[in-house]
Amino acid sequence: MTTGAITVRPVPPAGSALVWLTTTDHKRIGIMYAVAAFAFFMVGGVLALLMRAELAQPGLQVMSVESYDQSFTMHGTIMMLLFGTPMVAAFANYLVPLQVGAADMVFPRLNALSFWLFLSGGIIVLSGYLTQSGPADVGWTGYAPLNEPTFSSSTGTDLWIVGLALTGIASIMGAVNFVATIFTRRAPGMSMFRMPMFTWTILVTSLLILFAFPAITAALAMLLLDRRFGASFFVPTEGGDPILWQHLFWFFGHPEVYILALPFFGILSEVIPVFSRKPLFGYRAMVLATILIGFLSMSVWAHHMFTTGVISLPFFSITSFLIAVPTGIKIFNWIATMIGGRLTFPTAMLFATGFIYLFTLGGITGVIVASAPLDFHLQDTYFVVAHMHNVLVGGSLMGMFAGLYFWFPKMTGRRLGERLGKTHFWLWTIGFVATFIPQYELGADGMPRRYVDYSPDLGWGTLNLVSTMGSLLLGLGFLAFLVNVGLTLRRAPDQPADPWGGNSLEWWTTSPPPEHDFESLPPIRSTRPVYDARIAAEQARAGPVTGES
Amino acid sequence: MRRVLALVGVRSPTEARVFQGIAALAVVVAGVYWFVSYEPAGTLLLSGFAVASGLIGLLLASAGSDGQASATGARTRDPERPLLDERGRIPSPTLAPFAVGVGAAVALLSLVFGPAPLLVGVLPFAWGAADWLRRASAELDAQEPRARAMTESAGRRDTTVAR
Repeated sequence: MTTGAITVRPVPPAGSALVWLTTTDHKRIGIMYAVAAFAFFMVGGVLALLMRAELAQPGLQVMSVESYDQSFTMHGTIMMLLFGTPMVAAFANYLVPLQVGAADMVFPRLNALSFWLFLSGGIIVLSGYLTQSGPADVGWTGYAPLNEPTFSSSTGTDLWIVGLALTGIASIMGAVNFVATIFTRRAPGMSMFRMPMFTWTILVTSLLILFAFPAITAALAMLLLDRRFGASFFVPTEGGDPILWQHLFWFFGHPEVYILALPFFGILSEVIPVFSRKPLFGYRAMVLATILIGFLSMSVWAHHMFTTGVISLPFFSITSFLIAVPTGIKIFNWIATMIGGRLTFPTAMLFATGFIYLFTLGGITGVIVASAPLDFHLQDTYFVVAHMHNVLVGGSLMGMFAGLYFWFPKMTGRRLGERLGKTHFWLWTIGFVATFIPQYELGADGMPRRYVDYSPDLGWGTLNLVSTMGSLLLGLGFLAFLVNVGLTLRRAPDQPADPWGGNSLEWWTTSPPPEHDFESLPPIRSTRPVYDARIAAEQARAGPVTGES
Repeated sequence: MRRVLALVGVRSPTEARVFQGIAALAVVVAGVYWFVSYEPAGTLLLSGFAVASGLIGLLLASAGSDGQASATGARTRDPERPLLDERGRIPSPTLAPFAVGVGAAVALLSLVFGPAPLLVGVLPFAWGAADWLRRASAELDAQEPRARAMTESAGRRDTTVAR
């Protein structure tokens, strides 16, 4: 810091497990979130491959009916809540204090507690595999009355409830920390409208978590009371209301989709300007669009409940259509940022442009299912599966990989290999298209989701086989990424503070940053303080400007 | 007057205006939702969202914070001032969060497996919580004289500027 007054924390010896168990450093906690999330991702990914193997042809070849139910439950739960949400926390932990110019989060110990609660919750969810009856089998949406003991008596479902409640509490604590850090620890000069877009998206995401997660945490507590203590919140035969579960679940569940999307919009807004050598087009419009998306995501939850017959179809259709407007603003602004820029395409930028294509496709199919008459036909078919994966795999995961390739040099001092990175990108993109585009056709043709088998007479075999082959490509793409990370980490750190010519404050400090983040800060007079400092240094090197003679 | 204007958002800092705007929109959406659906669960959820946003907005506005108040109580209205002194704010490495987190998780398993996990989990939880509180208190005690000195120094500087 310019004051030079940071207390240097006595850290246990590097490499000791104690460093990680005792850390309150936001950067280490961010890395722990990422490692834990990817460990869960691999479990969820293997489950996905097993399910795709089962569906490659009609008949039961790989799994039993029960294990298929458990697999799609755990796959959805893991990918949404034990991988996607913690990856948001990983990026936010590592980057938000750096981007606002702070030495750490405002509550470092609470930050560490959030991580340990999340990890404990995740392990409890997975520990269902150790019980005799296996893990939860109620779907990641856990609809009532299927979630009641009459239909799912397994201990795994109880562990699923306790584990998810813990991860929910961890997310709420994390969100409080992010909001407080952004509001109170910004460096002088870093006004709200000079904050990087990624930090803005984390602010809005944190607010969504604060408003949405209490609903699901309360619903899980009510469900546990139903299952273990004789309550009847969701038991229709005892005066309970199963639709109440859907309201509470989707009041969390739909914002959750944006919790998994907005931060990656933020990552794109950081990556694209750097590799276009231009400022972000329409910064204020992007901020407004982020806030509007966040707000509208809180008022569309029941578009998942069109077929229940107890909600207002026009209201939820219209609010769902409206989300396309701020989302469109973002997509047009990213394209406008690239137009006229000096574009380069390292792996991070490839993933960013891939995101724009695939996410837009997911958004368009979202408008289709937001239309109630069409949704009545497509509800609970593979069309919805394809749409959701289009948004989350084609969108969020592409954005996540863009961010990992972009900030890996900052986090480790090492740059991921470009050749393996591009192999990863093409395998992932082709794999994505092959896996999920056939599922749109299958869904439109009526193939229901969550069924372990289908009749050979329906003619779905070929498209399912293509989808399974595509999922193998996705697996190979991820393998290329893992190999890339492994090989890169074996090299000595060699990256400078700013290997890409970045704009925001994290590129000012060393790669990786010191314990207290910054030794000094540049003047912050725009949204691009590091760019401003670079230009000022270049002008100073060029010497004083002489006037006309 | 300034305080009233701040509370209704006219002179609020950006943070407060964001929440106040969200609250206003949520009120409108909750109202529209009620009149098109007469459905209580959704209306209650949207109204709760509006009330929560509004309360946060009012709290931020009444605090009058520009988001730059330091943990020591000193404010940095001057955007060109160097970064706040964070001496003593960043805690040392500690096992307390790990113990509290794992202890709480194990203790919660008693909801599924009966009282045994509660007995196992409560020990690390209690140790971690006690260690956390002890360290936090020690840090606060160490910070107080320094915060007082900083506030006094800021006060002297403001007086000089006013003259």
